[in-house]
Amino acid sequence: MMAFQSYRRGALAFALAVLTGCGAAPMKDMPMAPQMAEQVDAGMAAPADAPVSAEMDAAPVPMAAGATGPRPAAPSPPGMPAPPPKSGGPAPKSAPATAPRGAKEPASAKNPAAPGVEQMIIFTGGLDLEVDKGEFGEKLHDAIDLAVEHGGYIGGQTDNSVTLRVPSSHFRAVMRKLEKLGDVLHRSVNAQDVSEQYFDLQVRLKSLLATRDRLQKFLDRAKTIDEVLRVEQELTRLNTQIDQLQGRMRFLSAQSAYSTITVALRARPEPPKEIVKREEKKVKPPPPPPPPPPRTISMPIPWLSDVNLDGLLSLGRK
Amino acid sequence: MKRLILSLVIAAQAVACTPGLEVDAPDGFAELEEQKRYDYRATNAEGVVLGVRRKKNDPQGDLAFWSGALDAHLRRSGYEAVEAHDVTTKDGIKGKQIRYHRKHEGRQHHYWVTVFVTGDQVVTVEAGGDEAFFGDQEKAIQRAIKGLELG
Repeated sequence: MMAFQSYRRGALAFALAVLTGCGAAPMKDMPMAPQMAEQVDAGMAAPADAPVSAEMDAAPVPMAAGATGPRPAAPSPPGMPAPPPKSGGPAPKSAPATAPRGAKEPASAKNPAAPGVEQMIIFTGGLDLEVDKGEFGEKLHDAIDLAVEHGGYIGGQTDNSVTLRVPSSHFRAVMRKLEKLGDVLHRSVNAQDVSEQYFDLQVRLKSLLATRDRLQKFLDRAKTIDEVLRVEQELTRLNTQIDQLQGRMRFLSAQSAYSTITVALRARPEPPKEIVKREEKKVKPPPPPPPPPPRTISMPIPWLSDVNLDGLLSLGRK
Repeated sequence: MKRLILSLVIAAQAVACTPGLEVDAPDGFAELEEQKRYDYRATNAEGVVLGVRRKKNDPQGDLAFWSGALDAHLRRSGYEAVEAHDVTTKDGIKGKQIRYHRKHEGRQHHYWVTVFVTGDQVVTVEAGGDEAFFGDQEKAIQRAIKGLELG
């Protein structure tokens, strides 16, 4: 009997070790596996009709992050937003950067590095425009209207800048139109290809989901509370990792679907005041010299001094 | 002795009669006798005075010269010229009338100086008085100036 129990424990430990070892990297570091192997009852071992090796063979081959080379297209993970369509329809994961300049951006593009995988590129644009100081409000409204016309929306705004989110397929067209709102002082475009990152996340997610399914089966067969607690603890860890991966994938999907364009306005510089003053001085003639003092006329006419109001009104004078 | 008496009589007549100058005093004005600086002077009860001088046209000048000389003299003395008019006597002699304002004993006064030049003579007609009384006499003074007979 004791020998049988030892055999069961060994089998369970082997199964857990294989399960946790075949997933993503974090699963390899799972410290619970050896302990569980020692404590789990031999009854938890996989049945003969469901060999672990068979399950492992059926699971997709995981690839380490950063690996290159052809990869199979991963199916849509449950609970996730629809992944980028392979072709047709509104594709957030378009590739305007790879399209010929001047050509209309394709709705989607295949990743040449990973055949069968959509390209996911996050576009970020920046424009510093010089406009008249009094036109800030009007130009910002024009920029927002432009984004809305192309199916975008406003992501943020200050007194002299606005952050726009526009569909990636309209990125270049919107940039070209925004450049006409003023004199371009600085222009920047950044394209970050996250297709590979997204694909790696997909693979890791699929692997974790498969592991979770297998642990779920172990949980159904658990006979002791200790076994249940141990497996549930592992399930909790797996679910946390799955949630993190799904969140990251949602973020990448959203970022690649809409590009970010930041438009910053600068006021046109006014001419230096000193120059203005000098020009004004040139225009204005110098003030005329003060008029000379009135010339004193000394007429040789004595009676002129008698002509005055006082003399006229002095009736007593003879 | 007889010659001396005759000479004095003739001289007295020459001064008193001011030959060639006739002025019709405005209504309400009384002519003042025994004038030295004026050939004619009259005043009304409110102190509005009309005075006439007749001087030799020396240096020989026309109406512009004498009106200009008088105006320059009065302006330098602080008189404020407010108006200038051309006037003509009933005999057709043209003259220039310049009107001034002047503070006199703390009161605003009006002072008109009218100049005529008749060949070898320069005739000045002065009229002045307190602003409160002068306005009532303006028309009468104008009539008197136009009625001058300068000879």
